Amino acid sequence: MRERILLIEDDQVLQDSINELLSIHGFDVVAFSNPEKALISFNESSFDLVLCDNRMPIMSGLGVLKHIRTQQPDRFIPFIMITAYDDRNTYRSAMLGGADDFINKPFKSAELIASVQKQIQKLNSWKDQLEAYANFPNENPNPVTRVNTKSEYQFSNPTFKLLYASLTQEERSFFDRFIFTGVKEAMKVAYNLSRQLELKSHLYNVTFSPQTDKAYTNIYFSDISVILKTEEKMKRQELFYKEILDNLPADLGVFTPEMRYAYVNPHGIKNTEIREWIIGKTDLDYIELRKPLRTDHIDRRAKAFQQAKNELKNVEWIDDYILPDGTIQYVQRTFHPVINEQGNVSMMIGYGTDITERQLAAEEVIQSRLRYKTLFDNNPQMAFIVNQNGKVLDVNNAACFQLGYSYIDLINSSVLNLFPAHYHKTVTKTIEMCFKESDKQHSWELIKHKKDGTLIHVLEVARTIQLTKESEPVLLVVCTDITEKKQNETLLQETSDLNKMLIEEMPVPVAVIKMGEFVNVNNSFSQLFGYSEKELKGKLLTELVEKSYCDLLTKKIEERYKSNIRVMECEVEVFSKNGQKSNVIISGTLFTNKGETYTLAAFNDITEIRIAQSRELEAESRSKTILNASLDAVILININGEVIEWNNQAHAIFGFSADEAKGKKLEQLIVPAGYSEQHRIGMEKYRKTGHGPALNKILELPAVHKDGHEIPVELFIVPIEIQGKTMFSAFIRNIEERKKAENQLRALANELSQQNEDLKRFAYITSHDLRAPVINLNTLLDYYDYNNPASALNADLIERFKQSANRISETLNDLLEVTKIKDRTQALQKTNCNVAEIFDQCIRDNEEELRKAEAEIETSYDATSHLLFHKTVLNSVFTNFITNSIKYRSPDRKLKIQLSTSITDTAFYIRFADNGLGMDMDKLKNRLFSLYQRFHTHVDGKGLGLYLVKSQLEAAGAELDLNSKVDAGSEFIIKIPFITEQIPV
Amino acid sequence: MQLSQPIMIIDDDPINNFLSKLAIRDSFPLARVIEFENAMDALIYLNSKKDVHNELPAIILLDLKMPVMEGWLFLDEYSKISQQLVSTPVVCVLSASDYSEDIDKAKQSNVVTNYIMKPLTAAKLNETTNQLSTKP
Repeated sequence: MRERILLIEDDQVLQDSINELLSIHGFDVVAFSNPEKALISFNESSFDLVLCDNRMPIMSGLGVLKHIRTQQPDRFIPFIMITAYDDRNTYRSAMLGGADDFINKPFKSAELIASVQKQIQKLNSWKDQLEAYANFPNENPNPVTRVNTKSEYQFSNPTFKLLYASLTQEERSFFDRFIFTGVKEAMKVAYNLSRQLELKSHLYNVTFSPQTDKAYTNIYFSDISVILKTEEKMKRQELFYKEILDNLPADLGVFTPEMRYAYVNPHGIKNTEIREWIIGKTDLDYIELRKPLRTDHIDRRAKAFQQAKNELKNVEWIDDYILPDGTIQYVQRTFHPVINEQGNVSMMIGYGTDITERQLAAEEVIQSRLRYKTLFDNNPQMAFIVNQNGKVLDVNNAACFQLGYSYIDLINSSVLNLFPAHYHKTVTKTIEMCFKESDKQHSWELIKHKKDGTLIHVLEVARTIQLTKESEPVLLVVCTDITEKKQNETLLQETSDLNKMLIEEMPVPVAVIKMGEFVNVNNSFSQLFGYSEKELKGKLLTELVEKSYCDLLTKKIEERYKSNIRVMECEVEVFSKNGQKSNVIISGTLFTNKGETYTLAAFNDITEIRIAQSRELEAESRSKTILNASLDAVILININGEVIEWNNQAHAIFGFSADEAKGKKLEQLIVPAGYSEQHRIGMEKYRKTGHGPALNKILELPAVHKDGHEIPVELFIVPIEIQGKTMFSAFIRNIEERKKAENQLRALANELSQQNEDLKRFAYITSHDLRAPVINLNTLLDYYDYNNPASALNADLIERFKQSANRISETLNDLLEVTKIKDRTQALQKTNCNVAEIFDQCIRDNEEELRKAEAEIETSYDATSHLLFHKTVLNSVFTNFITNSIKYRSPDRKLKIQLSTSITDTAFYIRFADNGLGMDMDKLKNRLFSLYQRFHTHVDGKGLGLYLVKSQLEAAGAELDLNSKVDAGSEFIIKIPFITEQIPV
Repeated sequence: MQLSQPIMIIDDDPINNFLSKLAIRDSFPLARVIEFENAMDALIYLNSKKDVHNELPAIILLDLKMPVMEGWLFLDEYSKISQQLVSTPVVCVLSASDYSEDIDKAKQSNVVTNYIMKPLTAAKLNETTNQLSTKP
C-alpha cells in the first residue's frame, strides 16, 4: 500500500519537483497551490502525511497546521513544515502547534525523503500501538502492565504506574527482572502463568497473560495479602464459632431447603452416631430409625418449616415432651430461613431452647390466682416460706420429699440447717438482702444438704410476699435441684462444620465474653439491646447491667470460676443503648479455645414475665379479698363442671364450705335433680358450639342447700378464658326473701284488685238497683195527699210504697249474701268430695220441683267422681244450676238434665247441661255472670244466680264456662285445675 | 202546649212508670202515653208505626237497666230504624244512675237528646218539650 501525501506549495515549480521526487520514492501525492482547497480535500479523504510550505499568500502553513490540529485533534497524521532557513519564530510556533518535522529551504532531495520516510515509519508504529492500546485494560483497579517482546513496558495503567513509582531503585531492578523473566517464560509456554511476588509487605498474585500473535504480554497484579489475612481470620473464627455451636446450651440444626439435615449440634442430638448418620437425611428417615416415635412433633415441625420457607420469616412454636419421669419439658423452637442474594431460601436454621422453667413460671402465675396454696403444696419444685429470722414457716411436699425431711422436721426450724456450715453466713446475708430489696426477685445457686447428708446443687428463686395486709412480709423461696443438670453438662464433642452465619443468624441474643469483656455478639443481641458489635467490643458486661445487680453477677462469675461450675445463670436488669431496662436471665457456659477461656452467654429477655408476675402476685390477694367480700356467691367451675373457686358467700348460701365444694361437680352440690339433665346438656352444648342457653343472662332457678331444701336463686353465668382454658364464673344471689315478698305482694295485689272489682260492682248496684226504689219512695211520698188520706190515689200510693220498700230490702239481702259467700268460701277447707253424692243430694233437695217439671236426669262419671274441693260450693252451684234449669225450661219439651265428669292431666271437669230455653250468647257475652242480670222476662229472676255461682267457683280456684243456644239449652263447664296454688319460681 | 203525638215510656219498673205518668199528666193532661216494660216490644211497635205520624211518639223516655234488652241495646237497634220513621222522636234517657260512665255514654250517642235523672217531674218534662219546639 502506498502512502498518500498531501502537498501544499504555492510555488508551482517547487511543487512539481517535490511531487516528482516523492512519486519516484513510491508515495502517492495530492498537490495543491491553494491551502484552502487543500484543507477541503484533507477533510474529505484520507492522507498519511501533510507536507506544507509556510509562506503562502492565502493562508500560512501555521494556519493550515492550526486548522488541522484543532479541527481534527484525534487524527494521527505527521505534519512536515517547509520553512525558510532561520525563521526561528515560525519554527517555535510550529513546534507548539503540533508540527512533527521541519525542512529548511533550500533542501536536498535526500533530506526531504529521509524526513518523510521517518514520519511515515513513526506513523505506522503509532498506528500499531494505537491498535494494541485499544485492547489494554487501562481501567482495571488492580495494577496492569504490558511488556512487548523487546522487554519494554508498553502500556501501564494508573495503578501500576503508582506502584512502580513507589519502588526504590533497588526494588525496581528486582521488579523488572521478575517481570521480564516471567514474560519470557509465559511466551515460551504460550499460556497464562501465575507467580507470587512479595513487595513492600504485600503479597501479589502476578498473572502473565501472553499474546503470542500480538507479541506482547499483559501482566495482572492482584494484592492477595488482604484475602490471605481474611482467610486466616475466617479459619480462626470458624474454629471459634464451631466451639460455640458445639457448646451451645440449646438445640441448633441447619437444614437444606428440602428439609434435609445439614448440621445438628450435640445438644440437638446427643448420640454422636445418629448425629453423623442424620446428615443428608430427613425427619421421616429418623422416624423410620427410631420406631415407634411420636410423630405429632415431626408434623408440626414440617408445617413450621414450610411456613418459614414460604413466608420467608421466622416461625416459632413450642413443643412439649413428656420426660420419662413424667414431667413436661417445653422447648421453644424457631425456624429461621437464610435467604440468598436471589431471594431464595438457601438454608434453614432450626433453633430450640428449653423454656420449661419459663413456661412453668408462666403457668404458675396463672394458676396461683386460683390455687395458690395447692400450687405451693404440689409444686414439683421445692418451696419454702421463710421469715426474717430464717425460720421455716411453711414448706411444700416436694421440698420434704426431695430433701428427705418430714414436714415436722422442717417446720419452725431454721433454714440454716439445710445448708453446709460454711454457707451459713452467705445464707443469712442473702435473706437479709431479700427483705431489704423486697421489691425485687432474687435468685442464686447454692449447695444444700439432704437429711442423709448428700449434697445437692440448687437454683433458688426468692421473693418477699405479704400474705395478708396485716401480716409481716415473708420470703417465698422456690428451689430447683440442678445437680443432675450440672453433672450432665459435660464437654460436648465437636463433629461437623459450622460457620459464622449460624451464630450471627441465631434468633437468641448470644454474646461471647472474655474476662468480662464482650468479644463478640450476634445480630439478635444487637437488635435487642441496640448496640452494634463494634460498639460492644471491649466493653465490660457490667457496664450494661443495672448497678445493683453487678455485685451479684460478679460474685456469680467468680464463684463459677472457683467452683468450676459449668453453667452460670443469673437474672439481672440490662440497659439497652436507649436506656431502657430489661429483665434478662444470663446463662453462661465456659469453653476454651486455643488455651483462652471464654464465656458463651445467652440473654433471655423475661421482662414481660417478671412484670406479669409482680402484677399477679399483687392482684392475687386483692382479688381473693374482693371475691370473699362479694355479696353474691361466686363460684368458678371448669369445663367439666367441677368447682375451682367457692367464696364465703357461696358457703353462707349453700352450706357447703369451700373445702367441701372444691373439686366436686356442681350438679352434685347445688343443682336440683330436675335441673341436672338440663345443666349437663347446657355444658355439653357449650363444649361443642361455644354457646350455652344459660350464659350471659340473669336466670331465676331453684338451687339446693346442703341440708336438702330448695332455695330460689338468681344466677348469672359468664364464660371466661384463662390461658386457653374455658371456665365459667357463676354469680349467684339468694332471692328466697325477695321471692316470698314478691309472692305476698302478688297475692295482695290480686286481693286488692278483686276487692276493687267488688267495690265497683257495689257502686253500680247502688246506682241502679238501690237508687231506683229509693227514688220511687221519695217521689211516691211527694204525690201523697195528706188532706185526703182516704183518697183512692193514696191507697194506690201506699201499695206501691210497700213494693218499693220490699225491693230495697231484697236487694240489700242479696248483696249481703254475695259478700258472705265469698268470705265463707275462702275460709273453707278443701275436702274429699264425691261429685255423684253431692249431685244426688241436690236432686233430692229439689225433688218436688223436678217432679212437677217432669224432669229426666242423666249422669255419667268418667273414671272417678272424687276430687279435692269445697263441698258446700259444689252443693250451692249444683242447686243453682238445677233451679235455673227448672225455671228456664222450655214449655215445648220435657226438661232433661245431664251431669258428667272427666279428667285430663291438668284438671277435673264437671259438665252440667239442660235442654231449656237457652240464651243468645252473641248478645249476652259481656253481661253473663254479672250481678243483677236477667235474661228472661217471663219468670221471676233476680239476676243473682249466675253471678253467685261464678263468684263461688272463682273464690275456690275453679273456672266456669257457658255455652248456650236459644231454644236448644245451656251447658255449664266447671274446670277445677289440680294444682291450684303454683309458686312461680 | 198540646201534643198531637203520644209520649213513649220504656221501663221495666211499674212504679216508675206509674210516677212518670203522673208527671206527664201534670204537664200535658191530654197527652197519650204508650208504656212498655220490655224494650223489644217498643222496637216492634216503632217499626210497625214508622209511616203513621200520629202514632209515632214525640218523646221516648228510656230506662237503661232492663232485663233481656237493656237500654243501650235498644238504642243500637233504634238507630238502625230511626231514619225510616216519618217523624223522629226526641229520645230521653230516664235513669236512676248518676254513674258518670252511663251519662257520658248517653251524651256520646247520636240519638239521645237528653239525660234525665229519675224521678221524672213536670218541670223536667217541660224543659225537654221546650227543646223539642226549638228544634228545626
